[in-house]
Amino acid sequence: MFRLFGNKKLLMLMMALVVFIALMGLTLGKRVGLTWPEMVVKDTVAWTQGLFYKPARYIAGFFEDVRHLRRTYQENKILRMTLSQYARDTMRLNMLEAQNKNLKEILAFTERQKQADNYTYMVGEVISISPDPYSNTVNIDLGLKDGIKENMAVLSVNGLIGRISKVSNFTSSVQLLADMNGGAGTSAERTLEKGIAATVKGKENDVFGTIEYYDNERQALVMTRISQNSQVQVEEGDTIITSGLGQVFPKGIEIGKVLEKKIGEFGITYNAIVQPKATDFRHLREVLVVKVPEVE
Amino acid sequence: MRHLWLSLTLFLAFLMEGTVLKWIIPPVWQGQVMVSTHFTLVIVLFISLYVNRHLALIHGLAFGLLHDIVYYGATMIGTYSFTMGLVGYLTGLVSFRSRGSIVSSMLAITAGHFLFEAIIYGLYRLFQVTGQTPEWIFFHQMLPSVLINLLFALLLYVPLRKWLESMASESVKDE
Repeated sequence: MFRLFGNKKLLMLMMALVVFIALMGLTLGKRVGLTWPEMVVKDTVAWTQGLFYKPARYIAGFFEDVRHLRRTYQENKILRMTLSQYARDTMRLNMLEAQNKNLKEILAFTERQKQADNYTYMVGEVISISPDPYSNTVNIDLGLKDGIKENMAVLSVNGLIGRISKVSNFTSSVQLLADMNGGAGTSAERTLEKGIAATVKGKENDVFGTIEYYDNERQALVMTRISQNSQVQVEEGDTIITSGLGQVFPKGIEIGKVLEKKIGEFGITYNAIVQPKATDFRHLREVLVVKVPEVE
Repeated sequence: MRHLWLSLTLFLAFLMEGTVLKWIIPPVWQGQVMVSTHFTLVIVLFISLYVNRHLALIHGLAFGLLHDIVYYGATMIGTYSFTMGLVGYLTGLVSFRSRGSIVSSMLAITAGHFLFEAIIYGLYRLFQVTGQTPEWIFFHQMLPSVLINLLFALLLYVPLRKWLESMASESVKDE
């Protein structure tokens, strides 16, 4: 083995190892912003990738449409029903909104408090998806110039899919929920950093927990630290939404449905296995980035 | 200048990896069983077998770094660059004595690919990016990926070998 390499080559290999390990260590984890060479490379490549991704998507979409043609009639019927329901809900919503605004005026809410729930949604198109199975990174065509910042929540039409992890000038990377594959063996900071504060729809004042990691083997998210003491408990089939308590994600975004309730690690809390609503992380077209308003 | 076309081909393969293939590969293979396509790696291995290992080293490092930067999300820069460079170089060493038949070159590519997957997994485990057990990763990610990439290598074998060997003989003539 050593004759194969020779002294000089072995030295080179050692040098390379040292340099690369240092590079990996430095770029891993919390790091604020990207340097300009990274941005230039990323933006240039992303632009070229866009040329490929869109046509491929359209062609694949066409075949998918043909497959769905048979279901169209059924779907149409259901949609018409939901539409009438939607119209009724809008009426109610308008009324409630006006009432809510009035009440806030009376209670003298500050401008910041009033604006807190007024989210704006930005549509981004997917440029490319990483072929690396360990890091589920998706690049989208919104960047610093569009006001994107790190840690913003990203949704697809189905529900929450991830957060913005790195931003460059014209593009940014999305870290998908499936990338929270913590569990045993992953460093504590990495999982803790990415926990999402969550609650149950309809039981917002009783059930709290943290979406901690993605279980690769079960293909589901694990929600931990749900208190056993509260009167109302999380049940199978409940819808899990973000609670907004973590200050990172806005509140009320749908995450998924509870598949199973289990006793937690130390026996004093519950864990819930949550089936994410946006399941197909690998075939994304458009995503929505949620911008939380900032009032000085 | 002679290698410009080679670099362009690799760049095209790199673009394909992240864009078109996600739509071609059936969704069943992208859930629990994860097929990841590393076409740049396959071409780098071909270069290492049929041209020389130094060219493979350079291309492996360069395109690995490109991959690292473009898909730099929650992990780190340097894994793919280091691994692709190293694997490209090592594969060149192994096959140095005999430029064999299709079987031996496919074996070399399979071995190189497994080594690549193993080093990537090792690095991610070392830096605690992943906590999965090696057995699970082997059956759900490594094995399917290697098989699919081997299929791609077989598809490319005849045209790519011809092209690369003509390139290699030209460079010998120049010297």
